[in-house]
Amino acid sequence: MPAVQNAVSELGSELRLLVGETASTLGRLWMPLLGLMLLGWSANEGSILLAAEIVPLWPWGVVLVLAIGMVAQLATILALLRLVSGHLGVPGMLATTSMGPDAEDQRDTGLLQLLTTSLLPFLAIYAAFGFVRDYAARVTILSGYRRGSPELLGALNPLQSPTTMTWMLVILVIGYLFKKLIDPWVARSKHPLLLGLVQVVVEASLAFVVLLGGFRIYEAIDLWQSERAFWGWIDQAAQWLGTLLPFDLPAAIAMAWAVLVRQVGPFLFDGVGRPLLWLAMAGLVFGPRALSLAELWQLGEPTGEITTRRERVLAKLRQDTERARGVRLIALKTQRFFFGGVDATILGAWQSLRLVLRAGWPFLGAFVIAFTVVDFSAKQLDLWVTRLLGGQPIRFWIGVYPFLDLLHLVVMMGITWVLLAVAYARALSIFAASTADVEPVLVTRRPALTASLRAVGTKASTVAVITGLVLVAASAVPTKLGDEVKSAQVLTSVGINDQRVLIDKPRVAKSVQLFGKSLTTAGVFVVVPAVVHTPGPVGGLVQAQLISGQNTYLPVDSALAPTASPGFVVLAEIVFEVDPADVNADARVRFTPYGENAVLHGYQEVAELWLGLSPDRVDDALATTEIAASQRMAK
Amino acid sequence: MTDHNLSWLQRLSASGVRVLLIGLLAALLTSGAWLYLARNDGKRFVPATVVAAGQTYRLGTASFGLDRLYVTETVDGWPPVNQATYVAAELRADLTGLAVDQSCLFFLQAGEYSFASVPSYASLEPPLSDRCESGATGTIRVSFEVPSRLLDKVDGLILIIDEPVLMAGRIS
Repeated sequence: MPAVQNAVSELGSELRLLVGETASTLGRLWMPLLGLMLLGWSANEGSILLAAEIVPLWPWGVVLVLAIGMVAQLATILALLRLVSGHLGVPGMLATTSMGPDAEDQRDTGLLQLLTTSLLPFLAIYAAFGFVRDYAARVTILSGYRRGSPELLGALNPLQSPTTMTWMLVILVIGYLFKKLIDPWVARSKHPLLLGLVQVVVEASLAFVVLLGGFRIYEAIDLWQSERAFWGWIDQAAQWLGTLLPFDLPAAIAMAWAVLVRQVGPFLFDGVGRPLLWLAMAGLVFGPRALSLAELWQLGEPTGEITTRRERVLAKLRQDTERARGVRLIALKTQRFFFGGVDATILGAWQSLRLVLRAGWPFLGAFVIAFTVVDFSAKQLDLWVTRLLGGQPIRFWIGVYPFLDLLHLVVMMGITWVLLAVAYARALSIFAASTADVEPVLVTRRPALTASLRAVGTKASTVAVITGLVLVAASAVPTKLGDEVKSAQVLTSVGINDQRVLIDKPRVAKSVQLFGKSLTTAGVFVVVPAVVHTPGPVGGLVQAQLISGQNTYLPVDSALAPTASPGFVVLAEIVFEVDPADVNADARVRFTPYGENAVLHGYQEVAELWLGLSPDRVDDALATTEIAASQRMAK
Repeated sequence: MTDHNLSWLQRLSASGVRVLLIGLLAALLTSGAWLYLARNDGKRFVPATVVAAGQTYRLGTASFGLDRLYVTETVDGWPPVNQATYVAAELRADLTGLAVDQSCLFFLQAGEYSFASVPSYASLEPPLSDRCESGATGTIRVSFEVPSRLLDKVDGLILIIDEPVLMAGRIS
């Protein structure tokens, strides 16, 4: 089918262009790129370190530290994107148009202005994809581990106490007014850059106050509405409808909802939405005038005249504003004072996203595929490095985490940002190619063919199917690690982090004598003699579970194996009450160390010791067995 | 594009080596700070104060002094477990300034190891006691069960009221 072949060919050309340009850009600019990413990494890790020290003293101070770290990191990313776009020749391409001098204006593309216009969209994307939550979690974990300090998000919870709510509102109001009132003074000041940065940090702080504290209010509202009788009426209506239909309607709705919310939604949001949102974010570095220019190219309008419908609408609105009097004038001026800045950032991001979505199916498919491959590689790299380091106690992971983050934030995100800049330059080139007076900077070897509506539909379907297959394949590969499992047979000592465990041959019985009491069961008891040794200075509780097939059993008297304090070894018998069907060759005891911290653990060693059981042990089970008292000695 | 607008981009493009060096320096400083703050990770106690052998530790108007560390054969008449030894610590304590809601925890330090005190159920005659009691003055005696192989590594008693304090001493 020629239409399908053409679509595949165009997709391949776009992909080759994106990958090739990204690789060559990385090769040519690796020094400043690496330097910028290292600066961004330092800002991120430094702010986490500082925030963790501040939490026990002043939780609200974390917001300021987080904001400074985020602004510093964003500055390095924006500098990187502008550097790459300059290297690709995008400013030159914009300058060749008749709007050239206006397309690239220092007021729009100076670093400070870029920070101002990019900050809110950047933070919104960060929050949407869980980065803010992950940051707060890291600060909480680090502070809790080293300082034993209270939980960060709890301290910033406005619903926890009236004082916290009052502080939050005061900070929001004062911060917002400060930002607005300082605006006219920035340009007139002797240090506009410094004052501008203060303004940006204040804006970032306000955003984080809303993100870290405001979501609690959203949670409370969500919980309140979920408990309303309204949902009960919906359930009753669904059940009544179900009686009229030949199938179980409520179950069908529940299943459809589960598929939509747990599988399709995350797949689309993460697989397709995330790369496109990041690409739209990258477009902001070109400034709003350049975006307007690109929109004119896309519409095929001449760039020398302001004749678009939007410009006419804007001109009319300007006229209306000039004619406004009285209350309407006050309302318009108030709106401009409070929301003018927000309009510029949100509209700019929206404009950028709209442009990206009109760049054509082959481009969009190629970009999503390239982004997915880079993202997948980042996750696999993280996984394999963790596996290489092996199971370790939590103190190791707390110490090494920033250096693992370095691989992600510097190497993989560096590649991602370059890919984004190349992709956006390619999108602008696609629009520029449709005008006669502009030389696009990035072109494929295979130009797009003029196509009928049906061929466009075939192209879209082909690209969507291929991209979907790549996304499905990437999501099918596991990206999360469990624990490092060390397997052994009975009477074999196994090390799990700072401790050692060993089991002897188990007994199977129908009843046990435990603490002077006789326990009986409809199933069977499996009694496992276990030895736990803590040779070094660090060691904690050890959890014991009997696993067979899909079933997991805890000990009858406690979830914990014998506790051996540092320098001591303990021998005790662990009793499990088990379904006779699970007494088979698959039965094993899993020992999981709690380590020095009962709550935190990273990728750690666990032991699975095979019991060597078989089904005939049930028939040969002892009528009763006495559980020996535990013994302890130094070693 | 204006010259001024190009300037920061041009500077960035032209000084790639300098940007890399600055980035490396920032990363090194951040790594150093991180590793320095992580130096006590995994340690059970990091003493805020170390009191030399024979000296007195003062907390407000309360005071503690480690009199001696010595081996004892039994605690409450019971011997230690196999390959372990009991070590007793006696502190002279003046707790007249100790708040009523303040309590003390005692650990024996032996190199990297630390051992919690063994509970004793025998009644001690005043001025002997096995705990901190506000207003009391006398001797506090606490016992610890220690692996015999670590006896020569015992280097003091850790006292925790507000924060860990190491009172240096050796077994006599």
